[in-house]
Amino acid sequence: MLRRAGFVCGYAGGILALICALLMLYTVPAGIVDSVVQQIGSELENEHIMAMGEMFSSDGWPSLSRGAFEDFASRVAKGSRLRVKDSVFEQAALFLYRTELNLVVSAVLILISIVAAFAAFLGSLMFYRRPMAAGAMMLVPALVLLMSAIYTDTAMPTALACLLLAAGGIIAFMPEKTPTPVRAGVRPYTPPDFHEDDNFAPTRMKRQREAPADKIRVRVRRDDHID
Amino acid sequence: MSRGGYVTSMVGGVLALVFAMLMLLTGFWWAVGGDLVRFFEERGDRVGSMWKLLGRYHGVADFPQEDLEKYVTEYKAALEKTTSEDLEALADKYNSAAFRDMAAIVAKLEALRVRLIIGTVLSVLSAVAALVGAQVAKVRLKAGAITILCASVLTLGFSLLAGSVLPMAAASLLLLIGSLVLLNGGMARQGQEPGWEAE
Repeated sequence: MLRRAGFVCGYAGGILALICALLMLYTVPAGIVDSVVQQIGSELENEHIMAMGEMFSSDGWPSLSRGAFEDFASRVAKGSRLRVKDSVFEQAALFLYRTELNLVVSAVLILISIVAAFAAFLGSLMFYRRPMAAGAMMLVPALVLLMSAIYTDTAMPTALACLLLAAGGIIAFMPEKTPTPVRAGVRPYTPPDFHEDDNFAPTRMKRQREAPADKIRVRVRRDDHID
Repeated sequence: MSRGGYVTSMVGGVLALVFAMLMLLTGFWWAVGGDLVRFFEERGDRVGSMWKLLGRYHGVADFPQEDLEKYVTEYKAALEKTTSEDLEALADKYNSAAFRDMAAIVAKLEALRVRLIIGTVLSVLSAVAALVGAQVAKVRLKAGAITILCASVLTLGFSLLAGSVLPMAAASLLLLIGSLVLLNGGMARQGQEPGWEAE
């Protein structure tokens, strides 16, 4: 019962994790745009915006490093006709650098989250065959998902998926119930086979004995149940 | 249970879930993507003046302002409440083809928005039902296979509603094949005496 509950938790968590990781494709960019608009309003001045416009229209966009952005700002400031200080260009360039860095990190985190969600989902499918591997494949992605969700401010929908995955992972690591060992010298109980009933109703053993040799009928394992 | 049917259903279910989650992007792109690209190619140089005129229409002062925060807040609110009718009014007022094109794009988006959201949500639910059905098929073959079959039809229908049918069609096809293989396996088994097989 517990193992079935663990599988259900892991499977549901895997599906939810997939949904949440793919949902980040919408929520994270929307959050970034919102925060950038807020920062423009609160941190920047008109001069910064004009300096940014000048930077966007000039060639040779820098690679993602602080030094490259500072060099780019000073280069644009030298060729600019705007009556703006060089420090304004530098501040605008640093703002653009922070925004671009945030975008790149968020994109990488979204990618990692999607991969982690797939790993967790596959882990839940391995629950019965390889419980240890399945547990690891559910617990580690749950942690990764939670961390990336906290970083990208989307922890609320992902938290439930992480909880379910963690529950599934923990149950996968729990040892299976083993049958109680029989004490030495005690004969285990076997149901009696009354021979006087042999002619009245054929027992299973007798039916197997009487089966023709050329066409043996056997009970087979099917659907994980031994008939 | 047929292993092939199970694997096909699982792959189809996961693909259906992924495509359903991406449907907001694909539906948007297929509805107005081409128009937007054409707009920026043909009328990209008019965006600046459109920005200014739209602000004036909503009573927002022109850009270089003392208080940038006020400008940002007011313009954000103006953008949020702009409809295709406002853009049409601007197009008539300034006799602007750029505003008229943008109004047509926004009108398409307004018509699609509700269908897109409903189609996406229901497609996600159908994909989840398919994934649940694949697991149910392990224990109750027929019930699981029928769930997957219904989910394949529903995902296709809802993707049609959202206007993004092409990627979902592949996933629906996989689900359909999986469910039919599962059902076929179940019927073949019913022909035999239960519990016994000849070797």
